[in-house]
Amino acid sequence: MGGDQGGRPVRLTRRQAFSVALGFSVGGAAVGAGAAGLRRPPPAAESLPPGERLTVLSGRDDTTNYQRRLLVETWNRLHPDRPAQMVELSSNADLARATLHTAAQEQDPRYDVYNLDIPWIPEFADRGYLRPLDGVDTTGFLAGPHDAGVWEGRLWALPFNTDVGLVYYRPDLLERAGIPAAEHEVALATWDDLFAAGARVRDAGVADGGIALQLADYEGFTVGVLEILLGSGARPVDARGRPRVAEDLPTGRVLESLGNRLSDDTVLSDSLTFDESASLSAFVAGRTAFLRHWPVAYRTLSGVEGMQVGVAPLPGGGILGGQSLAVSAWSRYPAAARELVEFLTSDRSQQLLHERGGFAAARPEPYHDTTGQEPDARAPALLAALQDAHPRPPLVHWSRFSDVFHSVLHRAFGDGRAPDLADLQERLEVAVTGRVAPES
Amino acid sequence: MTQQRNAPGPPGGGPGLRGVTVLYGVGALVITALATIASLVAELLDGPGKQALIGSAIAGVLAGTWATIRTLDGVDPVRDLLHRVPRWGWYLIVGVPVTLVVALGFVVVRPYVVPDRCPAAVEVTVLTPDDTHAELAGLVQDFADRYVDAEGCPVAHVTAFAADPPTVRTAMASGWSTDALRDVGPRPDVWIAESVAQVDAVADDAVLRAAGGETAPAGDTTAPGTPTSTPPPGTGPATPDLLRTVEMGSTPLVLAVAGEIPTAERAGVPAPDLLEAAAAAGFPVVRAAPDTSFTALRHAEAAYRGADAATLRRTEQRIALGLAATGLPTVSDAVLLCRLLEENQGSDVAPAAVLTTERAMVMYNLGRSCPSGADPGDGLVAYYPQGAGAVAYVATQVGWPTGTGAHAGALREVRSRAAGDLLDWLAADAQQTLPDRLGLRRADGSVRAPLDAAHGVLDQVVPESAAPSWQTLQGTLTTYRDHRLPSHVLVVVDASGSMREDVGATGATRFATASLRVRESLRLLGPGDGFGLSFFSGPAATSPLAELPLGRGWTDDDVAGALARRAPDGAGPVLDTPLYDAIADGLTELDDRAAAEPDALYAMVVLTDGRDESDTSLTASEVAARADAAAARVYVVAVGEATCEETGLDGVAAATGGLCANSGFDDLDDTLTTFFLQLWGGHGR
Repeated sequence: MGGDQGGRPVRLTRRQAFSVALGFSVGGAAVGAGAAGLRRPPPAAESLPPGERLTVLSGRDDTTNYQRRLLVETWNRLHPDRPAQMVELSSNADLARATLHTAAQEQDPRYDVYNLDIPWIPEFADRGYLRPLDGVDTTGFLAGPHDAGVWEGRLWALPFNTDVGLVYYRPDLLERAGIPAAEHEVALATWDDLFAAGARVRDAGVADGGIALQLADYEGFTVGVLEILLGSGARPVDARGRPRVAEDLPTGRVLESLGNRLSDDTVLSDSLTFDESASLSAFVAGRTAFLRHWPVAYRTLSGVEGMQVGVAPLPGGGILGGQSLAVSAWSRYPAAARELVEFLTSDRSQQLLHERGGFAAARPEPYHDTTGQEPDARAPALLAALQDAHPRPPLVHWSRFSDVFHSVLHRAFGDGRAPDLADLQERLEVAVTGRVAPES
Repeated sequence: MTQQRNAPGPPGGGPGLRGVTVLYGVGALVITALATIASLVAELLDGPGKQALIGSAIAGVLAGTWATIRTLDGVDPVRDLLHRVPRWGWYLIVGVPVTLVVALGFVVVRPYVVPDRCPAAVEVTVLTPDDTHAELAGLVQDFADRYVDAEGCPVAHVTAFAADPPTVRTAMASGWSTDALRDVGPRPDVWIAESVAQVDAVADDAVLRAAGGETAPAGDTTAPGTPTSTPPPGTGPATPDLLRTVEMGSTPLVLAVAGEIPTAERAGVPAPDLLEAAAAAGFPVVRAAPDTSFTALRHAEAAYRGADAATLRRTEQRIALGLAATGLPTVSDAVLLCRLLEENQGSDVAPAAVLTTERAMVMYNLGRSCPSGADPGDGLVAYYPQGAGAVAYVATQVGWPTGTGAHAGALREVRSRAAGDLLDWLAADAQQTLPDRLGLRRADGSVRAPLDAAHGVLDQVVPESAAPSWQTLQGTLTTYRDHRLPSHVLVVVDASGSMREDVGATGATRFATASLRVRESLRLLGPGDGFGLSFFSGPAATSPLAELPLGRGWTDDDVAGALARRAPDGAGPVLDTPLYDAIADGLTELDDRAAAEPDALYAMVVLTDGRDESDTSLTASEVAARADAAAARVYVVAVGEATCEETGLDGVAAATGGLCANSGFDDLDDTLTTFFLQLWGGHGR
């Protein structure tokens, strides 16, 4: 340190120099301590007192033959000093969420691991209900399902199973409409191509409409319409979760087009009353040549007698679904709970849930490894769809956003009029803050 | 300061003023640069790296600042100046800029670091009756949308769910066990019931339970070997605390008829006479099952009051014949009316007279009995049986034990306040909308549109307000079970190769689990009821195998023996699943029996885990056509990988007025109980 004044050198006293050195030493030590913290190994998993169990609070185990429970049993055999159990909740997502949310709000220490639908992760992380999974080995997860567990730059949950929209089609109906097999891939390249093919099917009188979507006035509407918007290049919500339906020109164009296609049955107009089950029935009944649905529909469709069915990723990518495991902020055994989460989401567990439980895996290996299993015809399409999937908008108040999004647009489409995007934008801006949007 | 800045350098060899300025400037630049670099690097990192860098940058800035001050303290003119500043001056010099910087920083930074988001709303769960769930869910959501704080943020997040009365009572009696959490829903904070009698029953169960006595029959919900989850400490049974009950509104019990009954007045005719008059006028009389529908139970109670055994039997026979003629489902009042509305689509006259409520009839006449809506044609008209009374909705606040500690206590208070406010709202503000939203008369008894003549209502009828006690209703249920028509049920069980698979980690096969559940169902068998047991597997020519022909008097040992004999052999070949052939053959057997014994009801219960795989060409639509003409109703439980949609058995069941349910093995007992309650009425319960 030095300087001069009028050519005279500046000299520090010994005391001054010592002070400066001490000050920067303290700062340096702090930096060093912080850096050391980066390398600190995770704490060892706790052993549980006799009679205690790690508890996973999860929606009902709907896997074939209860593969989730079997995984917990396997954990118990391998870790007798920290056994686990599942407390199962309703398979209805709203009811499961209510119980999970109540447990988290009450800071209930009896539950160690939460199985969360991925739209809930931002809310649970933001509220401080979860422990971050810093330093956990995330090697091998597909990017989309992994990133669904990240909020504000930190990892809060690991994917248990994943989900993504697919498009199913009936090759026989397409061929009867003059679209030969060689052109099927082209017909699924973009949403415009798909709608064009659907219009040909409708015009040829082969089916009532082109495609069946889930557009009843519920969350499925939000997911379905966002898929069409994002897959068509529109960006109705920005990366920070700010709605921009009125500013984003492609959003307006695609929504207007969708309304028109509902009016002329390119998108079967009854889609406005369809949920998953009703749209599936319409497709099976031959009312449309295309169907947007989840991977789980494949098993039903492939079992329908005398029906040919093809499956492909949605044009431009679907929206990611699924569930992830997170450690409760109030767990009394957080290290053991974290170890349990890692076990339940490991490559072996994913393989079992995929092969025997019927779930879409969040790791790529199960889609390639079919040892001892019947070939899964949907696997290539499903893996491709997962790799191209769009994340949900990063919103703490996803359900409120979704409620406004589907109620406003559903009413507009039902009335056959163009949606008022400025009004929708205003209401969505209120909704993403968690406030109740005023009635229109 | 300006003067001092221009003053000559101090004597004694210390740095001059320019030197001090340079020192200060260099120090500030170094500190700023370090902090900037640290913050930029921190942006690139996540987790502890980010935290460590930010913390280190703050520590470095503080240390550097301290070092600079120490340095300046060594400069004579500055030191002299500093020493002349009084103590209060230091407070000002430090405090004012710090306050300004912090305030400015807060204003500038706040939107970026603290987004404008509402705090978490407290969870409030509302349990509603099956029959009115959709309307009540919409109503309580209205409350949630209005229940906001000064910032417009919701105070409560309300989730509504539904369950039938027996399920609610069993769940409450179990202390809302983990089974109830899974099979019914979350513990309710508010319970909307169809009668104060239901609330009294739960309260009395709780008193009995506390005294160690018997409570509502919960049944054995766990098969040996079925994978279960042990409740964690403190999540086991808890006694619900029924805190406060308010009246919401009511609806008279009516016979809703598509037209006029020439020989009956609209009000004041005893129920048995009214049913006879309706039948004489050509209307098949139908009603849901009293075991699962509270409305049906109240109708039964009104019809049985003061009636002799012959009248009771005739009344139940009249209803059984009506149900057989129309094929309408009986699981609940709402399901029955929805099906009636769907089947009436496009015709002017409904094909039946329904024992229901005034509100359900009004909803029908508004075309709102089904979610999809439908044209009700000319609609229904209400006849008010003498002394039938009304279904009076009440809302009860329910308390549950929660964790201890200040946080849990505060949260419990917030939830309790929200639940209490919901009750107050239902009893006051919501009253305006009850007639239109739910078709209910208000708590003060007033009748408003659409409860009017245009929708089949006689608004001058004032039903008795006193509700029968739950003990009286329990007696009605027993009477019903003793006087209804006998019901013969053929149970057809899948014994194909897939039923050899284990259920979870239990070691019990699917077939063994299903066998246990079938045996348990026999406890619902009444003395006049019949039972038969068949199995299907292998070639259609040798399937199904009738192990126990349809008849009375089969014992549990008989059934257990038959099930053991037909258990699929784990070492044998994997056999086909001739599902459709088994149903078609079973319907033929039931038709033959019905021809021989017409004064009875007939049904088939099919239990399968797979789609049809056999050597026949029979299709689901052909089986549905066959079932449409059959005397029996078909009930199907699709378990494991099988689904009603995939097998096409939803259409087969619907054609007969039966039901198809997708089920897991752990709730197979609930599914079968629901079916057999409709068929046998639960004698053994």
